[in-house]
Amino acid sequence: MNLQQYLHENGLQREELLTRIAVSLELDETRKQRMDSAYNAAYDILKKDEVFFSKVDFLVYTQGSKAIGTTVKPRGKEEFDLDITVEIRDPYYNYTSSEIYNHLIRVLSSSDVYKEKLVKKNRCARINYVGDFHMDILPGCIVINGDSRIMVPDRELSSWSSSNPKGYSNWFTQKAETVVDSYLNKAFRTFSALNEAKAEQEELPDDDVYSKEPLKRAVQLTKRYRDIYFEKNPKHKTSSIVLTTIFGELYEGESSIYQTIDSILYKIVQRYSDYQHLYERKGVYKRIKVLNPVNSDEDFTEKWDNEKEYYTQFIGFAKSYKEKWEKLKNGDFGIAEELFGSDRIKGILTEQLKEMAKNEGNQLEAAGVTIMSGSTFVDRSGNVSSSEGYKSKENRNFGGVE
Amino acid sequence: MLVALKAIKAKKIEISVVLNKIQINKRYSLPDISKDFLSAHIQQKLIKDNFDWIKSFVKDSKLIGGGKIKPKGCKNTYDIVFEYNPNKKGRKENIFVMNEKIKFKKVPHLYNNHSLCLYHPYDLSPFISFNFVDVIPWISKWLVTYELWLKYGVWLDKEFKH
Repeated sequence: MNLQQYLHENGLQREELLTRIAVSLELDETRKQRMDSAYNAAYDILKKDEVFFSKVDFLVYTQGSKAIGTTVKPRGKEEFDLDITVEIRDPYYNYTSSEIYNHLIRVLSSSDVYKEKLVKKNRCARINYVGDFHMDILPGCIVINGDSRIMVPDRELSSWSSSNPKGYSNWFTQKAETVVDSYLNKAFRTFSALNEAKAEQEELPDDDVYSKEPLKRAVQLTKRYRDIYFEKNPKHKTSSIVLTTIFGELYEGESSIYQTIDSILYKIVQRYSDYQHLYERKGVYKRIKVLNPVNSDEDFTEKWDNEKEYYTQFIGFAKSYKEKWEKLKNGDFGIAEELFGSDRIKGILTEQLKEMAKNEGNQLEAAGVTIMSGSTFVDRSGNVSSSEGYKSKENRNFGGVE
Repeated sequence: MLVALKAIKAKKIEISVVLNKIQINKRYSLPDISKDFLSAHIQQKLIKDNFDWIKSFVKDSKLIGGGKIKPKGCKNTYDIVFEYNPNKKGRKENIFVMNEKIKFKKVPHLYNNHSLCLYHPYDLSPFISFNFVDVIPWISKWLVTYELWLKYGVWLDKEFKH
């Protein structure tokens, strides 16, 4: 028995399919490497700066989706943004805010590598790798040792503003780790242990494919359906920080990706209709708020007050997502095509079937793999074969319900 | 000259007598020389040479046939009936699976008369005539894809959605 077969028999095929979809959404290795080297190069150039940075103690770390493992490949012409923090381990009140910002700009603009790519933003310096990705470098100083909060220069305010990227990453990561016994990870480990005893070992996928927590996977999948849902209305697209935070907030240790999304969507829609009820009955208006978990003064959804369309669109998205997710409950993977793209699902299912076809009992899956290979023959009795019989010309099935 | 004319006239009468005798104008229409009588026979031979599961006959220049088929891996045996009419405009074939569950709107890739949609018309060459025997392997592919669809909910084979 191979892993695929084992997961299938343990009722984890859907969970495995969702994992494969999420993995397929991750950045590919070459892009990851390019980003890593851009990030390392930024550290090196700051380290070499004799005027300021070499004289202070500083750290460079990633923030955002890269730091919490929820990245998804950008769609179409969109670029991926890598956010990094340069944390100066010296209290902010020893400097003025513009001093810190200007030191960063000075170093980057005197470099032959960066000066062409540099764009000054309000709180960060952007390095634009056109057509590939951009790297936002956010400088900041600590407030006090042992506190993850930092103060970052805000050019518009010509002052400092508070930020806590590390605190946010920790909050999310800890939330994800509250998972009670991830089904898939457990099955993978049991299977690996069983397999180790055997002389003949199959090659197992990377450990982190199955060990990444359901919450992180859930956020990856949700971000992709968000991209698809808002494709024709990019203006009102719900931001990743809002989605990630609400998912982290409503997560209660669910053991699978499926359950995580299922229960969070239920809670969002439920809360919305409770508030609607309240408004209809008592005239009290309340809306869903997504507060910064490490700074409750900050409402990530502040603009939902003045521009209600953003809120309406978010609710529309959640409802549509929930409706589709319920169909997935019955094992109808066809709905996954609408959620995450048809070609992606066909490709992933074919990969699953290839694994299953290694078992001789699974002749239907084997026939499916032959059909998907594009080179199909059909023998005298009408069996699909990869070598024998009448060669099938290329065709596309057409029409009918979709 | 007169003799010759008389002979022609006599011949004409003779012909009309013969025509009247066989009553060609009354009982039969004149043969349509543009009608394709041959294709059905050619396709019957090609199918017979390549597939054992199909029995067919030609009637009125149409090829009618069918058989029972259970492609390897499939759970069920399917009863197939088809008609190929080379003289029809547009789509020349209708292929039916005699199965209660395989109905338009319940199963993808069927026409509204419940026959199988096996190819997209755009994919056919406008210059090479349609070879009906090429459609036969697609029936097997359709059935395997159908059973996979029942199991996984995804139509795996290439498709043209609309």
